[in-house]
Amino acid sequence: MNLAPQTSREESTYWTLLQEGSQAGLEFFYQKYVDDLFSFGMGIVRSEDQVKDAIQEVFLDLWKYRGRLSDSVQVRSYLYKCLAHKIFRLHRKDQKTQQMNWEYTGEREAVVESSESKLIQFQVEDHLRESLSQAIAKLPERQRAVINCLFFEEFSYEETSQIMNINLRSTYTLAWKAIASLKKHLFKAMNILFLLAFLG
Amino acid sequence: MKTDPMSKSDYTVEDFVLDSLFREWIFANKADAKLYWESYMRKHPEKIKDIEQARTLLVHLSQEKAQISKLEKRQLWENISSEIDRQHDEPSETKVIPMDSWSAIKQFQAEQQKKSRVAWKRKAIAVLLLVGCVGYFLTRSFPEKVPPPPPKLAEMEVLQAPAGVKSTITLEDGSKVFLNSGSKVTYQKGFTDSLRLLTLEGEAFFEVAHDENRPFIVQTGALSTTALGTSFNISSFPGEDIAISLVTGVVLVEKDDSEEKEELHPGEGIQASKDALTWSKNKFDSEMVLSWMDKTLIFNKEPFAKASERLENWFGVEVIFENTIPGDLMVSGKFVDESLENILTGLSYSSRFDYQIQGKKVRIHFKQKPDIL
Repeated sequence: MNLAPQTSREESTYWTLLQEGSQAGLEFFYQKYVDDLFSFGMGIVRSEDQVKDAIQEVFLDLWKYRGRLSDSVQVRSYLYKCLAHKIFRLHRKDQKTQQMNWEYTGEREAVVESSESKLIQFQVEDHLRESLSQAIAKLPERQRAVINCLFFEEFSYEETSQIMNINLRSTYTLAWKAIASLKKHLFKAMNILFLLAFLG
Repeated sequence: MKTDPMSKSDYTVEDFVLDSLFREWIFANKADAKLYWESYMRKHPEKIKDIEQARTLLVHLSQEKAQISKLEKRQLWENISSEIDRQHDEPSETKVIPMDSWSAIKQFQAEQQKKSRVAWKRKAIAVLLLVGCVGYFLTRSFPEKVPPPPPKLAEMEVLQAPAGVKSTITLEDGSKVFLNSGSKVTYQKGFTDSLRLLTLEGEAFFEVAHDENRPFIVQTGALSTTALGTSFNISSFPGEDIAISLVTGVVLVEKDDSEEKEELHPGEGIQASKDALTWSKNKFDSEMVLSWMDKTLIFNKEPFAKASERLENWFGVEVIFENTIPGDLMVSGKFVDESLENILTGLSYSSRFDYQIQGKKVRIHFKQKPDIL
């Protein structure tokens, strides 16, 4: 399902610039990937400050070690890997603030304009989506990261295992555990809905 | 991972969700995936319920995409880039070159002196260790023997954006320079106490940090543009006219060898030949002039040869014409952050040509006009 992202010619030009010490090379990758990195990071820890700090460190490292960068690199997954690594490390330092940040999840607005029956249908869909996204938020952070990689960033198992810096089997195990607990949440939510429908 | 199709008979809901072929079927309805799972359901009707649940889970899996605001993005980059500047492990694109032979000699001298100073320090420490407190008068005389610090050299900084690359630089005084592709700014490192003097080849946008005591002067050909705290754009590519466009504040544009000067207010510009023999004040189209900063390329009834020069500079490529350009061919269009290929495709329709991109070379072949018109 996942085409290996091809390193474009443009990217390899800027990669070379970066290796040669041009800040324009660094800025190119920053501008190109910062949005993706930010939302990926926020998928792992919901703290803007932590994610921004981690991104900053990733790019500073990239600059610092530019002389040692290898020539052929899938830049996108390489950056994801660095970011995941930074976040897990920074995160261990302040678990406490983290707990607090997870408290306020999901202020989502569902604007639905439709006929009444559709409205109900949409509300069901919304409810399921909502409860799944809450369930994702409650997953242990490494499981959440794997789910992000596989389902939202559409990396392959191989790429995900590289990003997470674990082997393929562990990647699969983490994903399996995550899906199992999501499934439980989903069914709970569905049962409640059926019950409501039945009562209504 | 369960990839062996035989083992899929004991699949659970989780396994379906995690199977990429399954996701291809659910999300993309790909033909081979569809075929596979339909025959799977025929063979394993007992699995249909699990499949349905796996599908429900997959289609409801969503994520709130957290977004970083433009402002935060810019701030974060500024943090990164100023951190880099602070660490200044060899400045990036900036290359320090001595101004002339005299300063080159001075620089070598300075390095030599630095070395001997280090040597002196080592000796001093050795002597101190040996003599200890007794010979303290010796140490008192040491400072005099240490050579005086080297005089400050007028080192020139050269900031360069090669063709195909744009860059942003913050100068020591806090002023910002946005350099267009194929452009170069030269200035004295740290400026002087009374002046911030730069020379520009190519095109740049300047955001000048306010400093009443040190005017900010940009030299281009025979023109100097003086500012205190303003933002303006100057284009001065080799072989082209100089165009100065003021966005905010006030600048003074002067000819180097005469008294002629012109004060510019926001929205006003100067168009002048390189030698400044002809010049005129005008109102400029800021969308047009500043478009390069938004990665936007605008052609406004431009002769084809001129337009291709701009493409060469913009993308850092070489355009080769396999036959002659139709003399009257003009190009118009606006391209926002587009790839070279898309731009060429866009232009090729109206200008009737075929093209080929081979690495850093672009070959253009104009189609023959039909003889009968």
